[in-house]
Amino acid sequence: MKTQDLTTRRALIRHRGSTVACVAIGAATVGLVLLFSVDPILSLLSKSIGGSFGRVLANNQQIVWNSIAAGVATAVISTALALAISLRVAFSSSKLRGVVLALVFASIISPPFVSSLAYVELFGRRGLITHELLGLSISPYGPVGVVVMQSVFFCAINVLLLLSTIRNIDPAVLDAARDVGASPSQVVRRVVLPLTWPSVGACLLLTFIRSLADYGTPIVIGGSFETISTAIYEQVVGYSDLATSAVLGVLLCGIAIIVYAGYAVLIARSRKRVAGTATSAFEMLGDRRSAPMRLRGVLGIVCGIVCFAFIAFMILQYVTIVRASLTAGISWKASFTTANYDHLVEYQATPLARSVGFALLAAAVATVLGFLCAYLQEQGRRGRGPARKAQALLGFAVTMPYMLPGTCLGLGYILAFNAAPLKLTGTGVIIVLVLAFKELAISQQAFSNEIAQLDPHLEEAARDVGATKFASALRIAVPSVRRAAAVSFMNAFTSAMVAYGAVLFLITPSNKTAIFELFDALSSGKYGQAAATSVVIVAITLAVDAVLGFLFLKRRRRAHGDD
Amino acid sequence: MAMIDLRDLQVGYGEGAVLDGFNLTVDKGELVCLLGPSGCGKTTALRAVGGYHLPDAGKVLIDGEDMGRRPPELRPVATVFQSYALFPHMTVLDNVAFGLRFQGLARAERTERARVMLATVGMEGRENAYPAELSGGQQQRVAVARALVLKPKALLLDEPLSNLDAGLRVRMREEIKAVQRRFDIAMLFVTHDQEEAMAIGDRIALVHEGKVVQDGAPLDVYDHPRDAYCARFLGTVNELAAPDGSRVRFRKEGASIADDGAYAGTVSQAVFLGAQWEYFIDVDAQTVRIRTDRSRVLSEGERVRFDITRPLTWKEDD
Repeated sequence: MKTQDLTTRRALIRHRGSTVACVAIGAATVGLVLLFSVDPILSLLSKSIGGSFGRVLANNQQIVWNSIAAGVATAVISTALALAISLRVAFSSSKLRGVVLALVFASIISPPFVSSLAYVELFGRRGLITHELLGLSISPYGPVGVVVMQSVFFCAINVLLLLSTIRNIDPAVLDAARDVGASPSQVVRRVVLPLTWPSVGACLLLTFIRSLADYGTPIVIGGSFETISTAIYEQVVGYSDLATSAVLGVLLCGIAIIVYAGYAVLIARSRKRVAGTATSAFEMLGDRRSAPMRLRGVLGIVCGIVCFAFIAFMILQYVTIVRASLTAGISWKASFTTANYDHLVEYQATPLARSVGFALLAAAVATVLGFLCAYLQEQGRRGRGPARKAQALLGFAVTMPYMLPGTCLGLGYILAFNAAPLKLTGTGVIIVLVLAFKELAISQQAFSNEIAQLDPHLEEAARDVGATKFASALRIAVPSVRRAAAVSFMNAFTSAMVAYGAVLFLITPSNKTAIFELFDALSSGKYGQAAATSVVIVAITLAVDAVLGFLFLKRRRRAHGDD
Repeated sequence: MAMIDLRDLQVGYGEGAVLDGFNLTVDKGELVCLLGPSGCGKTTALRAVGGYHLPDAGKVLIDGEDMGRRPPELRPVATVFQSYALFPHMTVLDNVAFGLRFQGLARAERTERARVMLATVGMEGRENAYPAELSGGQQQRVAVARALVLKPKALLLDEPLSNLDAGLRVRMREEIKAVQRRFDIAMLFVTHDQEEAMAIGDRIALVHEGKVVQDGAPLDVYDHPRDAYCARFLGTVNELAAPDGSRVRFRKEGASIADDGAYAGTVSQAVFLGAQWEYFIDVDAQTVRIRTDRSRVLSEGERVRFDITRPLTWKEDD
């Protein structure tokens, strides 16, 4: 009887301790999200109130229209290309799908400047194709180049979204359409496309925002073509006019939030029609299912041409960059040299190491916090009214930094953390934090998807056999989300390696990163060095992702369904 | 004449063969159940008839016509899929009318025929609903209507009841049987549930490792399986040494308790099943399972005698 009492009392103490630990960790998570997701945005807003909206808008009318026009054009072209490629690839052999997914993957892990760099090499004033081959000496700089390059660059991510939607259409539905007499082309027109429209809409909106937020492409090949993003950069770097740039930033954020609201509606509609849409590139790579049918007719030919043109262009782009990194100057006769890599080893080893270090730290932070947020949200969803509202608010707070253009987020970080009590500007910490919180939404989403798939009774079962709340979280939830952790880490690491906009204003001469050096080299015309840095960044990212993917993403063998 | 005639279908070869010399016929107005465990090849056979899976060798004849490599849209058969596979972006009416579009019918005609067919399966009034708004049973009816409206020569059903709960499953299988009688159509029905197969099938084709191992009326297959595999797949098989030294086999209900019975044993376990009792009876070193009605109740440990009233004989012994 006595020992019974003692055991019960010990269990009670343990139970209380666990509850305290859970509450403390939960509160810390919420606090960090408030501090690093919400506060920078509020700072940006309050700073913008200091600037005059009317005056800034009147002075920058042309720039706003430029941004919107380029955004719309890029969105339409990029989405149309991606739809054609996705249709071709969704209904093809797994070999072609593998090739396209590999290129898409390469594009995602590439620094955002690679297409611009390849563009300059191929079509620039001394371009290999325009000047050397065709003898032209035209200036490629301007809106057309920006739209073309953005369209191609964003095409990859759109292919991913559309392909995952099309691949997730129940193959039996396509069989059923053919069963009642529809030919493959008719199936595409009457079943596949209607089911894909919401995702196409989502792609249009996302691409529009990406185009608006992207400032690397217009800076490198835009020439005198200015956009909101390049203007923000100029205002901060050129004139140190934080008020004006804050106004422009808020404008950009406003557009982004409106567009994202539309995006959320479309994605919800898409999920109603097509079960599950992959959240990341890394999940698509495991797709080995064979295609339910083949594309034929005019549609098949058109999609095939677009698809192979895309493959050819992407390969050409990477070949150009590798070649540029190994030659001196732009010319077909340029001699082979390792000078670019020698320079890299000599001067850029530290920035490279710093990039990798920052990215690893950011990925770890995003993954741990992403899990905690997802877990809190799941608890909230199962709870009563106020808990549900709180979890929805937490979800929104986590998503904000992801939705905002990187430059705006970076601007918010400068404004929020440039004075005591939390003076972080000039340190590496702020860089790690901005990179982590920018990708937190994706991490949280990956964990949420996986946690939602867990049997809700698992935790009850653990509690039932005596585990405390803390122990059940640690021993039941954590081990079950291994895949999500890998996806989260890979995504955050990859983004951190190539993110530029967000860290633009936070990097100081003492903590330069590789992507910063890459941009420097590019804007001062040292294309060979820029190419070498690109190659090394891609190689490092690829290596880290490959190791993680190999270790954690191998699908567990499942029992085979009925024949 | 056979409406569906499958001759020596082969999918894969050697170790990896999914279908290995698969033969089967289904006549007009006949419902044949393809019965077998997961992975035996029954779904692949059905998909070969529909044209989703082209066999490596062998022939699929429908109404005497060789289907060759014809794609699904050109085959005069229609399928009811396991997941029903209703088009999620179309109303019930549009789902049913969809296939008529490809038969070149005008819109008014398509709508009219779809309405009539929906009324036949008891779905009038839900024409404008979307699939997501329907219950499992209703989706099933729409899937059947979508297939039948095309007046196919044969209807293929791929485990159509497996997504329904027990009560509904029994009701829907009766509905399917009624539809089949009404339209007097050839039906090939894939299932892994032996009770379902016996309840609905005019014939049962037992599939094992890519071939039909036995094919006959449910009663015949149940009482006279071809071998031990077929026997066990349809129900429990008891086996004892007969007084003359030979082996005798019987099903649970093939024996009756009798004080002057030829066999004696001890009740080791008595299980009440509601309508019946099931007894585990130890006879020498073996245990047999016998079901009785409730007129005679035995208790555990009781000595009992019984007779084998309906021995199970292998088909080839006949």
